[in-house]
Amino acid sequence: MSSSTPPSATTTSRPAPETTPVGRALQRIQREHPNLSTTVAAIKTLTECIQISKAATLSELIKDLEAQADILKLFRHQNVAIVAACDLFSRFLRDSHHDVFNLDATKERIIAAGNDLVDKSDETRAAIARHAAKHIIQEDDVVLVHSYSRVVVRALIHARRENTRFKVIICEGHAGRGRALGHATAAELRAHGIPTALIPDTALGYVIDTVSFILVGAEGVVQNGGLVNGLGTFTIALVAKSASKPFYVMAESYKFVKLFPLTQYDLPFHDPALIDVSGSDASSSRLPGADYTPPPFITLIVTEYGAFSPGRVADVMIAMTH
Amino acid sequence: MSKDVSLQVDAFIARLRRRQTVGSFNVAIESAKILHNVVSGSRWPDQDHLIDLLQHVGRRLIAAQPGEIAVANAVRRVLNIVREEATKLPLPENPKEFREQLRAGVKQAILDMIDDFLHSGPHIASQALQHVHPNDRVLTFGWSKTVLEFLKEAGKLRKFQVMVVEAAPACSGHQMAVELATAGIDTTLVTDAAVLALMPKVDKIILGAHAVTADGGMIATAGSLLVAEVAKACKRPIIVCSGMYKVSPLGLMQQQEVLSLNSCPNGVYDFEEGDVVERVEVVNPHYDFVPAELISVLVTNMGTHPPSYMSHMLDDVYSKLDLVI
Amino acid sequence: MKWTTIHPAVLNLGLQYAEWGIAGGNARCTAMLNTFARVIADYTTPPHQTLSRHLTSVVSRHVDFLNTTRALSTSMKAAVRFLKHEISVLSPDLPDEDAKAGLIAQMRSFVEAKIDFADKAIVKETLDKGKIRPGDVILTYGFSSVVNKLLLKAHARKIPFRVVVADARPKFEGQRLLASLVAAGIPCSYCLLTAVPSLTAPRPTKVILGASAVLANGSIMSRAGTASVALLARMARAPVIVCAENYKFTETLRLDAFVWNELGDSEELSAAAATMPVTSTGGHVSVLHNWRDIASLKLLNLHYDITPAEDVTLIISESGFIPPSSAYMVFKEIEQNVSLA
Repeated sequence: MSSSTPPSATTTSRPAPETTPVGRALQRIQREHPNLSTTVAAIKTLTECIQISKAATLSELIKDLEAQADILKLFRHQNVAIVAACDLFSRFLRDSHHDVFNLDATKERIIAAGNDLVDKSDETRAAIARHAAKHIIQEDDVVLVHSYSRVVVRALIHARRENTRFKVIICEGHAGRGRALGHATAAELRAHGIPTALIPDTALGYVIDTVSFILVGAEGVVQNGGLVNGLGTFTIALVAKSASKPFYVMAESYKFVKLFPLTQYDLPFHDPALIDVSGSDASSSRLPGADYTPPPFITLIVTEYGAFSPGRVADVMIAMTH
Repeated sequence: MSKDVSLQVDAFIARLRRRQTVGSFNVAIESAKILHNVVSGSRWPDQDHLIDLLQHVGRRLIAAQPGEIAVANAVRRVLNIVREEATKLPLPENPKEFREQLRAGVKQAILDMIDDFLHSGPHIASQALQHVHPNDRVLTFGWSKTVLEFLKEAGKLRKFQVMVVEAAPACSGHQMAVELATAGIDTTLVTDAAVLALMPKVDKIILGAHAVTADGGMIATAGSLLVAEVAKACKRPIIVCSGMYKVSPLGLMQQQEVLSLNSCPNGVYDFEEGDVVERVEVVNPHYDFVPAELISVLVTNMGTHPPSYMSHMLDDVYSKLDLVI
Repeated sequence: MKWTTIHPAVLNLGLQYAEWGIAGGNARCTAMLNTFARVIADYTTPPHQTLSRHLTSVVSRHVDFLNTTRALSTSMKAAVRFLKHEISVLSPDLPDEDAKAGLIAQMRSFVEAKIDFADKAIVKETLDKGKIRPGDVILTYGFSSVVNKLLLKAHARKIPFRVVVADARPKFEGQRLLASLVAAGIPCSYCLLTAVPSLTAPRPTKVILGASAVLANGSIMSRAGTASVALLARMARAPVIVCAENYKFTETLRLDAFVWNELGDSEELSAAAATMPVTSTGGHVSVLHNWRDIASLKLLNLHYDITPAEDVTLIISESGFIPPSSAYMVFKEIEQNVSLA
């Protein structure tokens, strides 16, 4: 795929992605399969693009896919998850360069790889959940979680099924608009009989000393082993470090993404205006849905291959690109 | 004021402006002497008028060279002296008698204060053995007369090593190194660039100050903050030696004016091609502000204290009425 | 030509090194290889000797000589390892002239690949991935050839940014960078290391540095003063980017900057620099002019320091973006691809 400057999520010269066919396809897939993470949904979308592509040669196909990926990257919401999918897809393309002359066979191979990932995504998530339940969640632990994360909920339910006795504190994840997703987490955990407290984000500093560890999901894991995840994650990581609490991330390996943010504001979805000081009520509208947590704040990243330090994950990513 | 005293004041203001009188020690003493002569050589009906007069003269002195904080310190000290002496005297029946007693009391107190200033260095140096131990590896930055006397005093009885950071562009550390070595102290002169590399080989840092602020921070030769941050990163203690005449009752926010005067008189770049000069902004501050949290201990002529204690000591020598002159 | 003597070109090179006429990892390495090319061109194998073994000893002798003029840099050591390896794998059947021509071509390729191409790749990757942004205030220190190339290219791409060049005694290498940037029309500020904590208007948004070597634990060996800049950057929450070609990655581990460092000439500190009055009286005779007569006085002129990995946000080489913790892994990978270009 192209290594050109990442298309800014705020440029006005490009079409709004939700008005494009590929953008609408992504949204449709997400509606039809709400259990898929955004990365997987984007992979599925790009796989479909291959199926309907009218390209006659391999290089045309690559160009076509690059164009579709570039459009998808214009989505500001879950931007990094989409970039991860596009990265992964470009690896599929690169790995299938063997059969240059048989386009159909190549397309088959890539579609198969994409579908394989999508089909296995549920089991991948389950494997991570099982690992966390077995090795991380211990008897009498107080687990702090943030907002809503499918893999975290999965892990907690699994631990409950294994009859581990533990409690959960949920930071509701209020992002200034809409309902805080922590409520959905609370409902689901309580339905499984897990003792749960839902707290406003403001109470984090107050409760942190009662917590055993923090468990979060991931929108993406970046090149240095850092984390991009729902807005508020970094705040929790800061408090956790200050209180010497372990901070664990659960992330499928397809969420590894070739981005290297230098600062909080060095990701594609950053809006330089940052906050709207015009005084209107939508004052948080320029804030992104995600933030960046640098590696020193992360204790372990749990993947389907096991739990690694951010440094090990960074090593793995270097090996992946060579 | 008498014409003679008025001329003296003008002459001193000129010397301050032209930087002919420089350095906290010199300006503190000269300011105090001038104010002594003002008290002595002028007519004033009562203490309020005396205070007004001293404030008026004081403002002019301060305006002559705002970067010399010791001037304002001396002015405030003298004002406090007047207030204190006035309360000590019994209410007289005779205003003239009161005036003369006040005049005498204030003059003597100012002379005592000047004496105090003159003995600052030796008083500080007398505490050296508490802080410099045998085989210590000490690091210091640039030139400081106070620190020099401090280390020389320690050097009379103890063997230790000193690393002097040269403090470009003025490189005042060169003179410091020569004087320490000449006094028989094992001295190594090093470049500013080597500070971080050497810090693990240092036991403590001893610095001089241009001025100390009310919160226990200090204003010192540019580069002091670099040394202090490196010391903090390597967890080495910083000892600051400073006479009380350098301690200001103002906190940093009010000292912004001093820092904004930042322009080191020594040039930093001798551009060969003339047009490069015009196109480059040269940043060459004279001073740094080192915050109190980087300083472990302040050694003054009134003893050794943590920076947080500064505000208590200020109450003894300054009046809150004189924060704005 | 007697091979027990040193080739005049190498003598001359040694002198230039000693006088710092040629300084900086890339420049010293390139000059050395260019000079060795001449040595090899002039070389003839003595009778009853094999080129491979004898030439290796000649190279070693010249390297040892250069080391006495000024300690070899990491870049030079990498080049010497490469050259010795190339000599050692020469086929014994190859005629001498062909062998020599081959070695000379290899050395040129080394420079082209390890320096020229590497720098181009570093610059491209940095700029393509948007690591220099409009409005950036970039703090750098001393002179680094790759940082120079990067900033010039960023400017050529019409990205508006400002540079603050920090510098220090005794070498003032930053002035060389400053001259280059100013000539290209880049808005610049200049200050000494002592002024770096005072840089507030405008405040640097990032720091970009060069390196002499990248050590096994991700720490950086560079010109003395670099570590201070990186420390201050971390405290000011500005990211620190280090640009270093792959051939500067080593498996050495150095935990402090003191024991092994290169000591410079003490006289340099005492020489009255033309750029500033040294004495408080404003005279131009150095206060230190008779320092040798003062028994208790030593002058210490350290050339390098070590920037710990935690003060570095990102290392950029021709292999791409590397977190400092992955430096050793990258070194191992590079080692496995010994022959290049």
